[in-house]
Amino acid sequence: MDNGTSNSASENETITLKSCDGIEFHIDARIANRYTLLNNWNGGESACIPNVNGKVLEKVLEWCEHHINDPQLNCGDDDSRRRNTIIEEWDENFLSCDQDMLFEIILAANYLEIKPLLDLGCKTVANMMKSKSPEEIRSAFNIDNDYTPEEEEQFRKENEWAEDY
Amino acid sequence: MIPLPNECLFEIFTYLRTYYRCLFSCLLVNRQWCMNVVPILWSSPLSYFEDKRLIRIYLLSLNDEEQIPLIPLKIMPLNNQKPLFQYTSYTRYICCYGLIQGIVNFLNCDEYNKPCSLYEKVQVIKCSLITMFLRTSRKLEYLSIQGLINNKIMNSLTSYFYENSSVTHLNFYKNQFNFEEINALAEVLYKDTTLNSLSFNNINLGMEGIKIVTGALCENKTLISFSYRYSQLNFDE
Repeated sequence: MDNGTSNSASENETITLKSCDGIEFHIDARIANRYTLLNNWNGGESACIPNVNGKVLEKVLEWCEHHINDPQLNCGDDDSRRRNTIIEEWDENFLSCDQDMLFEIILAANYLEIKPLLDLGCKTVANMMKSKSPEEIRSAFNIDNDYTPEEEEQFRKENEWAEDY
Repeated sequence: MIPLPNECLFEIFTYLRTYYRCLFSCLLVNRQWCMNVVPILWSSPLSYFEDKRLIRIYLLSLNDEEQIPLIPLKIMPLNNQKPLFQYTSYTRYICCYGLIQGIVNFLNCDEYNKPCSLYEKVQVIKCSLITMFLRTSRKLEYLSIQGLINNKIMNSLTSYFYENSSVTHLNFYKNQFNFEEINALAEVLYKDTTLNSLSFNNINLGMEGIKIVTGALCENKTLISFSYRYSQLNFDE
């Protein structure tokens, strides 16, 4: 039965990817086949994946390897996927890293177009914001408030209807 | 925090689409977050809420022409400062029932002179607001219109289909159409638009009107769903 994961690479085939700081990874070719952008960097002796360092690439590839047999997502599933903020246990543990790493993984998944990992990262951050006040969010993510007091007050007033729901 | 590009922030906030209180908090974090939250927060509030504060912001978005019918009602907010965003440009769903209930709640919040009945007031405000939505929203997908339809709504609606075809669902409920309006709608149906669902509920189009609409439907290639329901008993209620 076709579970949507079939591809041309066999289980024993490996490819080599190099991070931007020169660390090489030998991975199952089926992973690269699944995510087109990873495949683009396959094989080039001096070709590195720009913007993704070894530490982050290792995490990204660990996630890809664990999910190698997952069914492929359909683009049309976007809305139903976004209504669901539940995260599986393995994924939750996987992303129980420090906040910088979590954001690095999101950036890498976005850059490498690994949509399910991007979704997972975004969902994790979204869950971290639930039930927090603006001040608590700023402090949790170390964000500066660049509003003027007048501006902030007007935005608060114009959107206050949402505060009760 | 490692700065995330807008596309990633937007993705994050889409997971909070129905957590309005949380989106409200995110919006107040900083300017970049606000820019990414507003399109989500304001895409379909009328589907959920009948909040008078929401109606107040919509009223502040009316232009001079749309405000004219409201002058005798003396309901425009005193502090007439335009909102910081054109929030209505992000509207995707307009549920007329929610809009009407919101207007009723808004009108009940203060004392007003009573030059006309509450029903008439509500309909006048509704017409101006729908005209404003059709002028400002470029992403409208679902629109339901209940009760009075005036020339301005009809003109805005037909122009919307000619200039910007994002509406996929259009529902009319308890409206009355004259021949001119039925013909204008039929013209829209002759054109290939994004519209794929059209319904008339509790509306008497009359035999001639039905013929006009049916003729247009035969030529239409985009509609997937069409429904027409009319019961004399319900209509007169």
